[in-house]
Amino acid sequence: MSSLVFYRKWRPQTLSEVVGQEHVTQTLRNAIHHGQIAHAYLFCGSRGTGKTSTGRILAKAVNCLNNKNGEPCNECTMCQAITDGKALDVIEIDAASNNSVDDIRSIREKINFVPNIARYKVYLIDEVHMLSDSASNALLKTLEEPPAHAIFILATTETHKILPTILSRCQRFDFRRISQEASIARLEYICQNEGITIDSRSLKIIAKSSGGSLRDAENLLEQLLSYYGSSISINQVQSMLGLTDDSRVKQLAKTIIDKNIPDGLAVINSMINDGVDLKQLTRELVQYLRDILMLRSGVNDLINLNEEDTAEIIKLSQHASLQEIIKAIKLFGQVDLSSETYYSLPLELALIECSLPDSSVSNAVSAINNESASIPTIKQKTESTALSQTEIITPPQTIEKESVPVVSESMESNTPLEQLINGWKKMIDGTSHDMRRTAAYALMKNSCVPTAINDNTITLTFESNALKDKMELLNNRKIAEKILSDFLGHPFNIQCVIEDNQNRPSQKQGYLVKAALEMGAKIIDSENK
Amino acid sequence: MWQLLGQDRVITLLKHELETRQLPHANLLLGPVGIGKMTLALDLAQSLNCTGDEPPCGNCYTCLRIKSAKHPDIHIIDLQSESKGERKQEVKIGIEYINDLQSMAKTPPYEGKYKVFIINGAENLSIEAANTLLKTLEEPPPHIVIILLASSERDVLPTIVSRCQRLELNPVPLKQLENILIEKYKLDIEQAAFLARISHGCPGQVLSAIQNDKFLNERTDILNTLVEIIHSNREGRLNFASHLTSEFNKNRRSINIIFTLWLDWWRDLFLIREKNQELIINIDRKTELVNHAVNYTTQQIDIFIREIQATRKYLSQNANSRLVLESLMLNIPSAHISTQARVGE
Repeated sequence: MSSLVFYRKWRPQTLSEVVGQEHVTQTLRNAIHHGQIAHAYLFCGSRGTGKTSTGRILAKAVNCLNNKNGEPCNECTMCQAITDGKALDVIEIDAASNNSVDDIRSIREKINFVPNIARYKVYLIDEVHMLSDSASNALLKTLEEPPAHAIFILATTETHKILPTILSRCQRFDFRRISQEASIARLEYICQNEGITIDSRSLKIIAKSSGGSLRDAENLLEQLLSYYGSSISINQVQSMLGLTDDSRVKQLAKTIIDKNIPDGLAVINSMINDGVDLKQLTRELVQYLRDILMLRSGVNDLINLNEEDTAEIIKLSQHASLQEIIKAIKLFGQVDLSSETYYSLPLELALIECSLPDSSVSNAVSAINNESASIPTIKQKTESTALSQTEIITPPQTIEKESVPVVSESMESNTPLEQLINGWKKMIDGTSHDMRRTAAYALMKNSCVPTAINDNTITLTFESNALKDKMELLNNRKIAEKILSDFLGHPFNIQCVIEDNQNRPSQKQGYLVKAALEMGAKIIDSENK
Repeated sequence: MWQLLGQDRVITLLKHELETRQLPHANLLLGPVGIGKMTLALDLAQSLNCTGDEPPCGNCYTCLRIKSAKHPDIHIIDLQSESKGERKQEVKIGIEYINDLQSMAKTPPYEGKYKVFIINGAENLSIEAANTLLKTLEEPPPHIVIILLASSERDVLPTIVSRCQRLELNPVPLKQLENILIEKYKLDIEQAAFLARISHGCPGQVLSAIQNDKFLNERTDILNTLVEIIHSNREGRLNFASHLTSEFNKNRRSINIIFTLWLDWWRDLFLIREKNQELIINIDRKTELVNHAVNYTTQQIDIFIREIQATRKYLSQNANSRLVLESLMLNIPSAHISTQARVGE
């Protein structure tokens, strides 16, 4: 369109205007001021941090006719020509479009001619990570020892793709993500000059959502400007970003804690019908759950809420255990909405899984953790009942009735071993991806069963000697112990034994045999491997 | 007349920008299939070049030519346009198309006011192509507007996203879509409710369903098979798996339609179980669903939905399609297996 977008219109024109990169700009200013200009610079950093802008400013600064303290004047013919992109001696190359070795050869041929009018010939090579291998190599010699009148400025977002031999020939500057304060300051400056009225809280929201990229922030500001005109309120910013109003996030959090699936589903769907952005909703929900977690664990300093909200959360958090809150945060934190065309389902599934009883994991952990602790308490209880029996005659019976089932439940039906066996599949499924490539993981998945837990040792039983030996290798042991400990919540050692075949020969049928049996097959003969 | 349905916010924004001549030179339209990304892109192209009173008027010579894809200044780049000659099934938009774009961008428009480049499927740009586009996208020559369409932001190069105005098209809220269907297409209330639901808020699907019966027939077929499979034995399921595999090998997209319908079905089941009957999608089969829902626990349904999602993922990652599908078929929670049997597994 006829008017430039903000990120082009407000491209910084002096080093001091470049926001949030003082470590770069100060160095460059001093270098230019003292005339110590390197022949090759590499600017790297994520999007919208000012690499190309700084490159252009540098090109101006070295060529500026009345340079002051390392800043370009932006008034002389040279500076203006460069700003307009008309200067013959500042050559900006899009390395992604001109990535072949021939393009680099043409640079090599032309670089030896002295500049037409400027002091230096500046080659600004943008997106340099897209140069082909041979092109990068063709550049090496020139980059190392260019003629005295030439300066290379390379810019890229992906440093890891650049040849190390190129890296070592350049003075490298890493552009940081722009801090919120710096973004806000720059946005304020733009707003003043564009005549936009906007309060600082709105600017903060914009800066926060831009993820450290000023270009993204400027885009957003521009969108706001064209949508709402020159006076922008915080509500408008929120609705542009699809932020939800608090009350329904709280409502949803309440249904999660109350394990009220029907209401939760209703809340989610009513939000969809109102066009709430679900990604934003998920983010806010996780944030809110985190606040609950913090208050629940007694940390009050890390959250900034008013007293009313705090009281509300405290009331809410009393219904939930820490583990439930953590589980909810994990489940909702993993919700991936971007891959689904079908959009509310991941959230609904997370809601359901939060509320479903999941005996295997959490109980196994708590049982093992509490085992040593719980037995003494029960003993104490029985002691106290014994004491009370001597003093009072009637009430103890009721106490005994209460305490006995507690003992039997925790001792018999839910031994840690059983729970570990029940949770085994869950543990295998929940193992992290880098662990899954290991031999230990494969062994645990397919070839062994836990058969005993003593103190801090878990016994794993194998079918064959070879597999057992494999597991006993130090590497595999360590990984297996880590998987088990991560799952159970505190460190365990493992011990490997061979299965006693006489004990239970028939139970160990392969899944193929099982499937065949279900389809009506009969076992007529079997032989040992 | 803007052809895009149900995205008032985005349209208002773009109208403002067009009126004040501040439309950014690069726009990224994000939204699921059938939401109307291409419709909006063409709307924009028309508005930019329209000669009528109220752009896009849709009646002037320019608008009509753009609509029939005959305008020399509107260039659409997408995968389908590449199927010339022997290379039929391309998976990426190659660098040569972007090079073409760059050379075309250098010349002023032939007859319109702006040259508009529409890249359909920005996630399909090859790495080289995407990087090549970067500099052009940041500072194109005047009189150029680039519109990129993508279904998910995640698959687009972040440096591309940051150079564009992001316009997100979210599914149209149910009520609004129903009203549009009733007012604009003169559907009766029941049919509007039904179509709005099965389209997941994407008007494109409703329109294709209105235009021909194929979409709805296909849906009925798939759901009938689903019910049949749920009740069949292992043999039937494995047969179906091999049938699906051959379908999948012929056409990768067909299976996505099936899975989407399956997900709808199982989601309906848990919605019914969890007392949210009014939210279900397949309202035409409500009684059948209610009968089914009794047979399963919410947990079973949850597990199976995850199973379907995982299968989808594996297939997209080129796992052995037959194995994956067979395993999915065997994992269908059968109505006769009680909860105990599942725990025992």
